[in-house]
Amino acid sequence: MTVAVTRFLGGGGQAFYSLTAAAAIIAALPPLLVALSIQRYLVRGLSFGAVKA
Amino acid sequence: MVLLAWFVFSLFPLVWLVLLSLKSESEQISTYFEFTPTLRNFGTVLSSEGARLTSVNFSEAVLTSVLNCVGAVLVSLVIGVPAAYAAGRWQYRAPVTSCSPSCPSGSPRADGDRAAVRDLQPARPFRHQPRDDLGAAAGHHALIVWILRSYFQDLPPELEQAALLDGYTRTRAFLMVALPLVRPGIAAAALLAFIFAWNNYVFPLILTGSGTPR
Repeated sequence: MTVAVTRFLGGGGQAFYSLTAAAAIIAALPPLLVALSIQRYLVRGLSFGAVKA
Repeated sequence: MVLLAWFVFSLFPLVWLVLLSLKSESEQISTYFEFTPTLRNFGTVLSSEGARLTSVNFSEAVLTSVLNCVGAVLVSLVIGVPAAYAAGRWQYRAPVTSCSPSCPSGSPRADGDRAAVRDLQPARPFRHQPRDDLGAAAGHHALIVWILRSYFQDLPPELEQAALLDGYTRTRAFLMVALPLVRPGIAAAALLAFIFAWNNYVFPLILTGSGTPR
């Protein structure tokens, strides 16, 4: 996927900056979804550590 | 106030990225701020037109990446969590950071250390298939072990000792007592590992290259 994003900058051909930007935004969505979905556990992990210390 | 200004300033690349993605071909180099926002670029990227421009099907590439990253995270968790437990629980004669293969051997402790190292190895072998991206797993493996090790160390050993006293084996004490308690740590490590795998560029570039032996 990272490789696919850079293909829009064109290796030899024309560089499509708008398309690259759009592709980068689409590529940023999955990690965001993963982060949001386990956010509950993350916050608990932080407070858990704080209580321990 | 200064903080706020710095916040806006440091986020500006993202703003710029979003703005750029909404502009059409001719607007992207204009110096005026005004433009008519369009979602066409997103459509182009995902459609066959984008595939024609880059000779890569982008949505398929994203899906492959998701599969790869989830697989890499699962592999490193399955191998890394027990390794982290071993690394967190074993008492070393020397601090773990200075323990090398040359450290005093023959003692059960050093054997345990070697067992932990041996646990790390199955993630190594490279398959020359982009779909089984075990290379990504090997890359952030140490990270998972290191993060989870501190979580296991924070856990009072008395909890498992009580379980052992009640007749649990070491494995069962690990699975039933220690593992549920470090779940938040596992979530944090998994997220980091996923992001690292997702942002990885060099491995996919080499493994999906046309010159790669399949």
